[in-house]
Amino acid sequence: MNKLKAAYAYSSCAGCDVAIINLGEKLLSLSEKVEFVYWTTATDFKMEDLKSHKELDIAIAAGAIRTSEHEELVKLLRQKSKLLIALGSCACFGGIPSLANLYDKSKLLNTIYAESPSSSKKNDVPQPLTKLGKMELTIPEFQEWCNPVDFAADVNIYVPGCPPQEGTMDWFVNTINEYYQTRSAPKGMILASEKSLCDTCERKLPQKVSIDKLYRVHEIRLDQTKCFLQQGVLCHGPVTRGGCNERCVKANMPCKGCMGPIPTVRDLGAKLISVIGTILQSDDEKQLGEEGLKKVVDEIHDLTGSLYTYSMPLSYVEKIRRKRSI
Amino acid sequence: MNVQFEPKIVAFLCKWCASAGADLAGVSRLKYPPTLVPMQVLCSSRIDPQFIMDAFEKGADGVLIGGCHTPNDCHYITGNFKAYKRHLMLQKMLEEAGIESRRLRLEWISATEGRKLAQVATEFVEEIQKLGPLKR
Repeated sequence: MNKLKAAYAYSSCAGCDVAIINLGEKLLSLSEKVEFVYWTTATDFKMEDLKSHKELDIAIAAGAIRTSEHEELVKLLRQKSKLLIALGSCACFGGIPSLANLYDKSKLLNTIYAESPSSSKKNDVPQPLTKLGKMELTIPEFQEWCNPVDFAADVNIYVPGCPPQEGTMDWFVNTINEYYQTRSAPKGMILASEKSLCDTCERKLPQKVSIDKLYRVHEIRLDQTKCFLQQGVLCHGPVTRGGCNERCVKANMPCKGCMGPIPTVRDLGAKLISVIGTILQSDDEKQLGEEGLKKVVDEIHDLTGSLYTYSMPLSYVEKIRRKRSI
Repeated sequence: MNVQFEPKIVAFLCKWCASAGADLAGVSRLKYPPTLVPMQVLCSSRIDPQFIMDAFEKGADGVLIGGCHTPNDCHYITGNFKAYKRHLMLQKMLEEAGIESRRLRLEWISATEGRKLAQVATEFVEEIQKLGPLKR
């Protein structure tokens, strides 16, 4: 059989590229079946090279869509390829860059280019088109919203994780091998467990939990065996897909939700608010009263950011924000 | 012609207090705006924050939660406190996302307070009318 032609476009921190390179020998065996014709991190290719190919088999998109160039690339990949893979949490759900969606575009650009102490000229926000004498200089436009890949094109396979973990990457290689054999592209397949992380977590949660406040990770010495929620630290485990081998939990850090929400959860943040609401001061509600509880809730730092660390564009608050801005 | 904005408001009322209060308001023939749609739930703590965000996303301009008075009226002992904490956090989240947190309101309404329900409903509708539609 012919080799599969693959293209890899990214707009991310290149952590997902490292996840592919980390495949090691599996990458060598994969290279017998797949030929990379475009991969800017690994080899020197330009957009023209990608445009010169009439047809591709596999396209991998990593990173969220932030600028007009990212969107153009994703649309180009979709148009030319039969199998589009979203690699990494940014491509699947927006990831960390999409937390910027909590602020307007003008606010973001002003903070970086005008208000920051290091900016030399005030109000020096770069424009997509700059005229310099007779010359016209262009840069990609910074878009209003930061989107996951499936906002611009239909995705065949989602590979979540920040970056995708070894087990997920093995699954990814198997899927490509399968595609090599059958040449049938799945639709919207997610390479993660249908069950929550808590399902496989070894830490035990007691029947009744009451925490005195929601701690940030640096404020507390964490126990290696107790459930994080019991210790008062926000853990996304109850609402996040498993399949990542609990690498964070094993390193004594709470889950941040990079594998995305489980299918039964419509809004990850709202569901977590439900969880926190249940356990926060649950033993002393009546003694504290409304005033006392309000103080405890007011102390929570950056609630929205910690709830939607990896999946802001999937949230209802953002959907509402988008409809308000039109 | 000046057409006044009619806000869509979903009211989640607990079965034992607020919803009974709404029944009383109906039986007593008290008037409150028809734009408020009451919805009975077993307890105010049964209101999953997802329901509230769902309501906002699907077109509600305001959401009212009605529960039993704190600290001792709740039929399920502490359900009203759970609802209270969740509504505080949701308000915080809405505020952080740049949406007016006043669009979500929680009131304790007992089964005998039909008058309070009618008054709260009228006030709330007026307030949302001033804020304008959620999605512009």
